[in-house]
Order: sequence, then C-alpha cells, then structure tokens
Amino acid sequence: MNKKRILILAIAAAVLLAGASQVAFLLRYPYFRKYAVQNGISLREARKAWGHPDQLSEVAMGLTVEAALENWDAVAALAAEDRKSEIGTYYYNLANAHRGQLADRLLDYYQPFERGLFLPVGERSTPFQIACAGDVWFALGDMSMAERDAMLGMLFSPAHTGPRYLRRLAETNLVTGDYEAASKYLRILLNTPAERAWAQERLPDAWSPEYRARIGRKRALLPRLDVVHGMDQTQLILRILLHSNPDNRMALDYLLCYDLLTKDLDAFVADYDPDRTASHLYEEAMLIFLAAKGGMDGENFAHYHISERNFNRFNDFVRIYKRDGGSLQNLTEEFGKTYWYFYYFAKRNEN
Amino acid sequence: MNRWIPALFAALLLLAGCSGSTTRTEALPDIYPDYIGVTVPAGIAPLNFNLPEEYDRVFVRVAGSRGGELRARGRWAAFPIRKWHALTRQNAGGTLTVTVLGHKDGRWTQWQDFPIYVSDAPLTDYGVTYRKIAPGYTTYSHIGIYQRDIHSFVEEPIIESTLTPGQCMNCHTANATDPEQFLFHLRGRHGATMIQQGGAREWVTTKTDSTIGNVAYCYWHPGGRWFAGSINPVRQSFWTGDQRTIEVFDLASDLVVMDVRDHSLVVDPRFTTPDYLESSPAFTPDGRTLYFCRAKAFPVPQEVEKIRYDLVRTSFDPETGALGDIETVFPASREGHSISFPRPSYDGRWLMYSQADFGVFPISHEEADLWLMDLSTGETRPLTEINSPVSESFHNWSSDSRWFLFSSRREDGLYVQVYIASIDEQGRCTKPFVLPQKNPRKYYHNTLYSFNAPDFTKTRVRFDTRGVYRDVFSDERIQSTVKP
Repeated sequence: MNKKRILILAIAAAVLLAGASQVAFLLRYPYFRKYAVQNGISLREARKAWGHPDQLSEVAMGLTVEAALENWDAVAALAAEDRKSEIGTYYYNLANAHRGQLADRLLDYYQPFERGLFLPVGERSTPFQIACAGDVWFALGDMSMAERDAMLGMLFSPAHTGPRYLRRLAETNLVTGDYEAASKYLRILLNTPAERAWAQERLPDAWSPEYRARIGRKRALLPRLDVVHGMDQTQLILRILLHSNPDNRMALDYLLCYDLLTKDLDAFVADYDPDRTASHLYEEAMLIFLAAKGGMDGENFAHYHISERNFNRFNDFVRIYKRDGGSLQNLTEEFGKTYWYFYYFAKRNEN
Repeated sequence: MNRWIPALFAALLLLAGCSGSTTRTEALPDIYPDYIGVTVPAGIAPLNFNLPEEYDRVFVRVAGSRGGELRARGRWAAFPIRKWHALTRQNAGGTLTVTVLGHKDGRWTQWQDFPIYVSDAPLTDYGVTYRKIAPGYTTYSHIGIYQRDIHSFVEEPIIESTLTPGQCMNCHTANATDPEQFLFHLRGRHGATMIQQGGAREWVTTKTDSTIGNVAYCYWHPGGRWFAGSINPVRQSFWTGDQRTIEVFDLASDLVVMDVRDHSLVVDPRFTTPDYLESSPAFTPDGRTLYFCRAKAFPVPQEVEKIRYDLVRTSFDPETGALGDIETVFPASREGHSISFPRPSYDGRWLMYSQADFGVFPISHEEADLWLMDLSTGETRPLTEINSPVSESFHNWSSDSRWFLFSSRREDGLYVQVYIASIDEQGRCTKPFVLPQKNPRKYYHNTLYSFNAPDFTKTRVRFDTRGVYRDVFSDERIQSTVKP
C-alpha cells in the first residue's frame, strides 16, 4: 500500500470517526441541537457555550427549548429529571401553573424560595437564566418584562441574536399592538429560511382565527394601569396584573405563592381571597396565620374553606414540633411537603 | 440641449438592458431610507437606497444642476464613492436630480424625479462616534463604542465590551469633537474614567468620600484643563402599560468639575445638594459659562413623573474652577416640561436641547423633541422641521456648528438611528438624512442595536486597545481628590 493510499484511508477514518462522534453526541444530547437552532448557532458553539455537556445540562437545554415552544407536558416531564436547580424549579412551576396546579404541587418539589418562581436578572445572573427569565412574564401577561428579558437574553446569548429571542420580541409587540416594532423582528425572521413559515403566519394581515384568538387571550391579560415599578417589585407587578384582570388566575397563584415562598404571611392574607382560588397550600398557610393571630375559630375556618383534615394535621404538626423542641426529625416524612414544614424549616442559601 | 436629455436617458436605459415597456407615474418612488429632498454636505458617503423588496432591479441616474452625472443599477442603488464625492463637490450649493426606475414582474416603472440638495456648507469632520446598545436597556453585555467615517462606509470599534468583559461603558466624550482629548467612563466592578490626552491615557477613580459616585455625563472645557461631569447613579424601571415600557432615572445626581492636571475635583455644595438633581453640563465656547439641567428631587421610581428639569447656568472661572450663582435660563418645569442635554453650538450662536414631559432620559420618551434657543435673544422654538412623532434626543454639533446630528426612533419606534441636518444663520434646519449605509435596508433592518450618544469627531479617534484589558483589570487607578 503506497503512502498516498494510507493517507486517504487515514483521512477517511478520521472523518468517519468525527461523524460517528457527532452522531453519538446528538443521540445522547438531542436538545443541544435544538438549543443551537433556537439560538442561531452551530452545535459546536452550543457545546462551547455550555462547557462540558452532561445529562443535567441536557435537561436544562430541554426545559428552555420546550418552554419556548410552549410544550408544557414535555417541560413537566423534563423537570422531573432535574436535580435541584433554579431553572428546573422555575419551569416545573411554570408547567404546573399552565395546568392550574402551581400551588397544589409547589412543595412537592425543591423550592429555592422566590427564585423558583421568577429568575433574577442582574449582574450575577447567568446568560442562561436571563434567556429563560421572560417566559413567566409572557405567560402572565406582562409584555414589558417579557420584552426586557427577551432583549437581554438575546444580548447575552452566544450569537447575540437567535430565533428564540426574535420570536418573543415579535410576539410581545404583536400583543401590545406595536406592529412597527413587531415588523422589525418579523422581517429578520422572514429572511431566515427555517423561520419563514412561522413569521409569515404572524404578519398582522395573515393571522389565522387560531392565532387571532391567541393574541386576543394575551391582550386580555395586559395591565390596564400604567404604573412605573422597579425591577425587584414583583408583588406590585402581579397586583397590577390582577387589578386589570381579576380572572388572571395564573397571576393570582403566582402572587400568593410568591408571598408564601418569601414567608410574607401578612401580604398573603391581604392578597388571598378564598372564593377566587383554592389549594391545600393556602389552607396550610392560613392555619399558621390564624394560630399566630388568635383566629382559630369556626367562622374563619368556614371563610377560608379550611378542611377538618387539614386542621387536625396542623395540630399534629404543632404537637410534634413542640414535643421535639423544634426539631424537624420526626416531621419530615409526614409533613415534608406542607407549608408548615417550609415555613419553619426552610432556610435561604445565601451563597 | 435640455430637450435631448430624456431621449439620451432612454437610450442609456436601452444600453443598460432595461428592455420592455416602461410605465411612468407621477408618484415619488418609495425609497428606503427616505432621502427625498434631504440636504447633504459635499463629500458625504453615497446616499445608497433600496426600492421595496418586490422590485428585483433598480436603475438610477443622478444629474447635477452644476454638471456631472452618475448612474447606478442593480438590486439596489449603490453609487461608487469617488464618483459620488466628485459629483457632490461639483454641485455644492446646487441640486442633484434623481431619476429612478424599478423593475418588477417584467415591467419597468419610472417615478417622478426627486431632488437631493447639496449644501454649500462643507462638513469637514472625519466622522461620527456612537455606542451600539440594545434599545433603551441599561446593560453590561455586548456593547461598544464605534467610529464611522461619514465620507465612506467604514466603521471600526474604538473599544468593545469583549475587551473588558462585564464592564459597561458610558458615552465617549471628545473636546468639541477633537479626539486629541477624550474620555469615557467604564462601569462595573473594575470601573474607572479613562482620560486620554495627546495619546497618553489615565484611568481615574472620580468617586471620592465627598461625592456620590463616578462622573457619567461629561463635557470638556474648551481650554482643555477642565471637564464638568454629572454624577448619575442611573436606575431603570418599567411601565406596566402597553404604550411605554422603560423609564430611566437618577437615584440622585450632582455636578462636579475636574481639573485634569492634578485630578482634583471642584465640589461645591450648591451643586451637590440632595434636594436637587443636576445633570448634563455643557460649557459655552468661551469657557466662561456652564449650562446644565436641574430638577427638584422626588422619591423614585414612584414619583418619577414629578421630576422636571429646568435649564440653568452658572459662571465659571477657568483659572480657579470656581462656579458662580445658579441662574435659571428656562424654567421648563413651570410649564410641565423637562429639559435635558443642553448643547451650545461651538460658534456660540445656538443652544439645542431635548424637551420631554418629565425625566432626564428623553430617549425613552416618545414625546421628546429637539428645541433650539437663540443665545443672542434667548428665544426658543421646537425644531418642527426636524422632529417626528417619536423620540428625538442626543444631539451634538459638528466642529464648525453648521451641521448637527441627533438620535431618533422614527424608523420603527424602537431602534435609534443617527440623523444629520444642517442649520443656516437664521436657525433654519434642512430635512435630515439618516447615516448612509452601503446597503441601507440590509443594514438597518437587520441590526439589533441602537446608535446611542452619537457625536461628531473632527479626526479619526486613535485609541490603542493593547493593554486595555490589563489596565482595566489591574485596578491601578489614579484617585481623584477634592480641591480645598
């Protein structure tokens, strides 16, 4: 065999090996490719942006990819594979909120306080967190915040652009009726072959009845009060959303869960109307409040729809708590997923 | 001779391959950008333009009233730079008549000719500088300060955030467009004010025990020994309604003057009181007066709509740096308005400023317009020939004050572009033109950045980026002091 033939065979083997490695990677981490597409980058750049791909990063990629496509069942399934990450909790909560189960299932899962409801956007946030932070605001109906997070997510993304962000920017402006601004993003997407069909369907004069209905539903959530707020005034934003649209059940549950995860029971009681939403979580929180304020009576139990079972369980919890001198040891198994347990034992990780 | 021109032009069309019948219309062509009737300086970069996307070919003829002719054909109208320069110089003070034909579905359409006026006032400055930033958002991500040769299409970075990761840079400020002396402030953990003079640069911490932060909005004294700066801890808030999104405001703000010879600050309690907000200082060309904006402070963000800035001024002693009494020039707050960015022209004739309903950041205020004050009479008027229904702001003068540039969101209400216009001795302004690009539609439609804080630069900015990373992250700083 001459040298030339050996060289050709070596190159062919190297190409085959590289191809096989790529195929193996894609089979193992299929969401990396989808993440790359949504961010307008190559697979290599996606791998580079993440560092060392592993199953945990694949789940995180999957969560953001499926959330962008609003595949909430897939998001919920992926969240079940996550292991105590803020991103995982954030999407677990969002998927549950879409099914009206935010409060009921809140404490079935790791909750890093309010950071599992709203991802912080600041100098210490990761680009990945910033890219995901707007999904909840878009769902809740605050287009200012959704647009801000899409814009910042895009800036911090590997290519500083990408269909994921452009789609969101186009849609936030379509919802608010700013067609000029929406056209800016739709034009760019129209010139991207893979995005052309999506963009064409969203050109304002080409809306299908289904898409028109979707925009209508989003517009119904828009705040009708024009109030200025800081970036950290989450409760205020949620209250404004509710003031404009009292039927925004998702905003109501997010507000109540925010109050509870920040252990702000006074705010919770002020925000809670038992005739508008219900959950065992809210009953548990009310029991703590009523016990502390001396309101454990039948009238309050009736008003707040507190069941006898929950009342009895609360008494059991308090009894064991007092008996064990505030130790959690004998409470974890039976009460580990109650608000009482979270309220008394959950501690912030300040790192 | 004139009657032969159409026939000659038709022959040219045939030669150029414009076969098939041509439909004439009395309408003006729908060109992008809108260069119809604009006034340009001789030697500006070619005003290339696009027809709507459905036209697959364009044929353009530009004829000068003082002679000369230029043709372009292709997917869009793109003119050779040298020939364009020659044509505009030949026609300084005259008119260029532009004939446009567009090809669609096998047919040519010829629209009504339109004029481009060439000013007899030259624009000799090298170019413009600007930050490119996400529209309206204070951010510390991908950001940079760039310079653009306005006689060609060359854009180059002066400094980009990739060089100083995690640090955000404020506006680049040259001394009356002369980059021999310029500064910018870098925000972030390794923040500093970079001052470059004659090629030598210094990294200075302008925050002292007596001041609330580092300087942000700066303006050089024409003598070069001083610069005035307002200290603005900027914050950003959001509106919940669907008509406006962002509100940018200062938590507090003060005004100081720095002596760049020894990095000492003039801190005068009359200009640093917490009861008032002071912002965007600017010296007059004689260096004896300092204009700035001043507002009564209110709690923010909840009462941000009550914050309205008046135009004020004070005397300045270039020998000692001493500031005089505060004199209100235009009490805009009494009329329910707020003034920002006063900019005296370098010939001392005019003062241009932004006026909005409230606040200090007109760029996020749709109602913000440019106003012009005649400094010889004190009369002021809105620049109706310049303003649009959306925000105009961040204006600056060319070195000879015959041209000015400004930022506007008129394109799509969101992304800011740079426009240039001329002003005559009576204060009349011409129709502005957007900064030309090689393929304007491709450039402006695809960009995801706003052109922020533009200014003219007399010559090309020279900033050696070697060593910047080390300088920034070493945290070796000159600490400014307070003048006794």
